[in-house]
Amino acid sequence: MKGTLAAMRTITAPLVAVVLLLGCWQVAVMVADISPFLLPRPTVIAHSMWSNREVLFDATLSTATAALAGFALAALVGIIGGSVIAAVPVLRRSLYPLATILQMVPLVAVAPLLVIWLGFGLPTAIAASAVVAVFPVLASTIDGLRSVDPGLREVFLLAEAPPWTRWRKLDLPASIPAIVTGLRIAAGLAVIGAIVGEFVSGYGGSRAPLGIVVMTAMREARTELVFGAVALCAVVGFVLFGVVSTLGWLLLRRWHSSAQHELE
Amino acid sequence: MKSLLITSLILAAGALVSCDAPKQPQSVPIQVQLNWVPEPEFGGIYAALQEGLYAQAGLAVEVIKGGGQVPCAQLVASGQVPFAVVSGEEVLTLRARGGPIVAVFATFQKNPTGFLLHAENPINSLEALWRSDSTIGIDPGLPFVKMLNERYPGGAVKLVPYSGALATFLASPNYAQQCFITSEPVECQLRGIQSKVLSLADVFNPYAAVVATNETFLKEHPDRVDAFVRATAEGWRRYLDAPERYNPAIAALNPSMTLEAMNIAARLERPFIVPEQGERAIGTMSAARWQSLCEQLTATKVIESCGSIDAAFVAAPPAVP
Repeated sequence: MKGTLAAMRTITAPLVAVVLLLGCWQVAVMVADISPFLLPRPTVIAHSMWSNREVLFDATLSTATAALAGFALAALVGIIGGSVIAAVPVLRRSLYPLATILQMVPLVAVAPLLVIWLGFGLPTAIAASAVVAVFPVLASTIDGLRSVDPGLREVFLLAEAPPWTRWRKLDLPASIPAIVTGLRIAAGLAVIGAIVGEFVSGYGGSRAPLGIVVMTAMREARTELVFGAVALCAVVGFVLFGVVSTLGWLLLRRWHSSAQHELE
Repeated sequence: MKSLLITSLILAAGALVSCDAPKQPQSVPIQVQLNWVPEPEFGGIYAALQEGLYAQAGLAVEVIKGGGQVPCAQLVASGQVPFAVVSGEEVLTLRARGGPIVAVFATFQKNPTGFLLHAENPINSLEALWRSDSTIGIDPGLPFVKMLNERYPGGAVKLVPYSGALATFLASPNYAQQCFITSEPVECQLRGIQSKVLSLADVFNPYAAVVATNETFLKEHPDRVDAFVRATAEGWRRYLDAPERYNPAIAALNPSMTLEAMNIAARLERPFIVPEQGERAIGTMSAARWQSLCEQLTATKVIESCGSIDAAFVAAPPAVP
């Protein structure tokens, strides 16, 4: 009962905030008489989303596929790569600074190269998504593995546990809170990466993803559709973030304080 | 006492000088937002700037470089900038959505837009291109895409975003991309790449580049609009007469296009800019052309209606009150 009430409180607060924000937005646009090509009313945006529901549904599926695949790739490369880098001091000294520098490279500048290497369509969007999402996972995995309790590690060494067993039974479980944090950050970035990838590689026509819908609507001065498509980009990111957070909570709820205080 | 006398003399002399000096008119700062990087397609504006034509008209003009993602039409309609270079279809589309934008000067009398293909590509017509399975680099949302879809249905072309560069084109023999006849083909020619252009003008011939302002600015400052349009028209006349004189300054602003390419482009664009009536009519527009564009945009359902065509453009420089 207590848990249900806490969960309701958690959901109700942001919902009320969203409704209030949309209400203020609606009233402000009407009172200030702002032209719809500059800032459309939320009701106009909702109407546009409904009128274009088929286009937006297909576009959302396409972008979600790219973001999910990019996120999965980033998670795989980040966790495995981070584990290897953390385990081998030479690699940590040589590759970690390199990964940090690569993170600084603006995706917008790299995306056209991805098109040349991978071609148009989904592969480039997935790659762009993975490129931008991999670093938080990599960094958090390395930090998590390096923060394992030295005393526990000593126990495994005394028991002469092989490295694989130590990684599986101690290092990885102990790093999960840090890795989950990295994955949460990566979830939002994966959607941004997918959209940037679509800006340079997305197909037009009936297969158009959200990135192309945004560009098309902008060109056609359909500002309400731009808002609608952007809102759906946020929804994709929010859902991905929610799934990762839920999985993290399921993994951590029994033993980690961050998950136990999540609903408070 | 002596110092007081000297001070009085200096003040008196200053007062005399200020009375005798002719009053310099205060220049009005004006921004022009371009929809692309500095190239010969804006030659008249840069020539007017270099020749001091805007300054003589009392305008301190600042030219702002553009790019593919700069929403020029929205910027000018919202009053962020008093003038912007946009396309004719953007004017009618934005007006249909409530944007108070007005075209005041047409750079191109004939549409210089087309599709760039490799010379060895067997496709030789718009119909063949649109009925093929080619990949075409094109800005999403351009209205002629819907028109070509309706005119040549059943094709399997794959539309991808136009990058504004030639890298993908050079790497892919079967790739086509949108182009300005005066820009990308010239770059290909100078790189030794054999290319050809399928012109859009025969099927879609709007004013491809117009200088636009917003209704409020036009209403409040008709004199500035008039001065700007007249100076721009004169700038174009001077530019087309001797583009080589003005191109070095444009090339200095755009390192991605060589001076040689700019000189070739300037010669190529002349027949697209000078109207049948001759150079005196540079920049002018007709209601019939705007009406024709309106019919194409409404037929393809890009917009539902155009409203008053006469309100969408100013055919000649507005009268100064």
